[in-house]
Amino acid sequence: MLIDFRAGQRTLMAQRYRENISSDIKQKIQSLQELYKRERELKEELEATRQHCQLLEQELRPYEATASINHLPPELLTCIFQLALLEDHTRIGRLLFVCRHWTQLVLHTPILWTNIHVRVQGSDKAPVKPSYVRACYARSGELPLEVLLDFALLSSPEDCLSDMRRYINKACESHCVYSGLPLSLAYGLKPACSIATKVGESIYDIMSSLAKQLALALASGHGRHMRRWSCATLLLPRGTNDYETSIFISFSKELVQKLRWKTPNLQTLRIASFSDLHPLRFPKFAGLIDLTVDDLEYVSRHPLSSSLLRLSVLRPTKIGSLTRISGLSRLEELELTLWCCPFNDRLRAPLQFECLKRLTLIGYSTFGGPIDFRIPKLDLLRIKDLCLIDFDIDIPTSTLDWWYTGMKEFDTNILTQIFTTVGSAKHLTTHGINASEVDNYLKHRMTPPTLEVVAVIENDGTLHTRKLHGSLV
Amino acid sequence: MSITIVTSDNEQFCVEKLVAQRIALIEDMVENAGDRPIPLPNVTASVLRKILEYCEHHKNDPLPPYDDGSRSRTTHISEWDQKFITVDQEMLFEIILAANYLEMKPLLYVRLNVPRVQCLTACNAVAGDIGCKTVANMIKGKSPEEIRKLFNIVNNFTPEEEAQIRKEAEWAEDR
Repeated sequence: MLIDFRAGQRTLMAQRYRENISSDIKQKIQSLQELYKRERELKEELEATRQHCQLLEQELRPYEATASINHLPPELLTCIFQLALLEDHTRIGRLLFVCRHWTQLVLHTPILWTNIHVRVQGSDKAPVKPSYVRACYARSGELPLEVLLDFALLSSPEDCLSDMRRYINKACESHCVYSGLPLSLAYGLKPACSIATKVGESIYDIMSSLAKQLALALASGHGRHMRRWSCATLLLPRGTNDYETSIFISFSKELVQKLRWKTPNLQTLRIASFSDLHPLRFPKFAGLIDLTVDDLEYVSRHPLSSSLLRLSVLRPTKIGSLTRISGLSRLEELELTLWCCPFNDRLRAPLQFECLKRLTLIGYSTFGGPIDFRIPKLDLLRIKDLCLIDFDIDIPTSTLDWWYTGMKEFDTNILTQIFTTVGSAKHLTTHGINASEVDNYLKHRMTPPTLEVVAVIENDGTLHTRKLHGSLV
Repeated sequence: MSITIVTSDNEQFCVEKLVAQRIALIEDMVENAGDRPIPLPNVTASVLRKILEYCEHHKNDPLPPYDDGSRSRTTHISEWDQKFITVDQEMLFEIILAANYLEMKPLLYVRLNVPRVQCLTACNAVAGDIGCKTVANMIKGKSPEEIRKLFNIVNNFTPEEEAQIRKEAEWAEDR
């Protein structure tokens, strides 16, 4: 065995050296160690301060700008939020998670919660939850509410099946809970989906059950909040075949049954129903002033409210349906969509409206014969998407508003018809026609002597105004 | 006939009266000011220049014959207005703030077709026109994180606050 005597000697020497070292040097070594320690601490402190500075700089950056979104007064920010939520109010949830200022503003501004958008449409979107409806009710205080109940795109059982195949595959591929469907359910349904058409029905059942839950949430508290409804839009699914139609009829009836509570403050009702053959029966809405319906047949069993000021009918296809509205003595605005409407009311009684101020005719044609309107106080006649241009529209008005949407290739005959229809109106506004075309027409043709101003709004929104029988404006 | 407007940075603008009349605040001040320049202490020259550009373009616009609320029910902006409002964010918010101060409803606001009772609440039945519509369009379809990034907003929630909001708005998840 070899012993390294030299190594032992070195260790011994070092030990003696340390023992013999002067206290002065020992003190210096200790101070140096303390300084090293302090240096480390300061470096750590410096790093922490740098990070804190970076955070502060980030936080202060918006304030350094003379104007940023959070500089806007609350009322303007509220208006911006209202506009941002026009199409899908359920997105209000996203605004809550931006920053404290937005959260406080959104939570404490009741008007931001007065629109309730309830949609159940297939499986592409995350379903709206009843708790969303309850949040809107709770946070809107006592303000009037605008409610959208849109089940028009609720998939039929067959559609549900194909939707679900896509939906389940996506959920399984991403191993996540997708659009509210638990992963376990997705995996469970995957094999079933490939072999059984019953799955489509099950999914339809889930969707329609959710739709009914939402209707129940809307009617919660014995319809207490339905008393605040001022505007309701109800879009129900429409079947494409007898089988679907029968399913959707029973679904819609059950749904409407859940909303049986009174809506005394309802002023505006828009409704698109599920079938021409099986119209919904509405109770009489005494205070209704604004009604939009697919077809007047939907309200056939009840007289139209005499308080109506505005009526829009999308397809007045039934015999006698137009004649029925003639008695609405207080009606101020009427919009009729008349695509190929066989207006063949047997008696051909004129449509007389004593108080009507605004009339909009969409897709008007001579199909079924022209309508004999008698409207003494008409301020505005709006013509949109005219089917044919080979007949005269003789409805006296103060202002004619003509929308050319390019359905028929543009030629000067269109302008001829417009200026003929003007009659004794003082103002004409055209939409979708180039100002140069109108100018050219005005240069070469006679215009009615009563016409004072022609406003031309081009497709890009540019407005040109021409004052006739005087100077150019 | 023209009037003189003085901005906060002391720049003078000689403006045709027809153009200046599109600005409600100035229209009110013109009567009292006589021939004296009208001071606008809250508006800088660069912002006023943009606003006058808007007024000049729209000086002949008549009021629409009938507002059925359809325009205010969309966030559509006409082509010219869209080009006009394509500015950096700071200028965009400066324009909105200035238009608010100048009570320029056509530039800033359009009427939202909301029931009468709602008109009495904070929003006062007005919502943004091109300025506010532009900001609203920027917000649409974006996640909270994307909104923060876009407007340089700091996420200043504590984890506890965030958990509280999640609890409060459990319906908002995945939306």
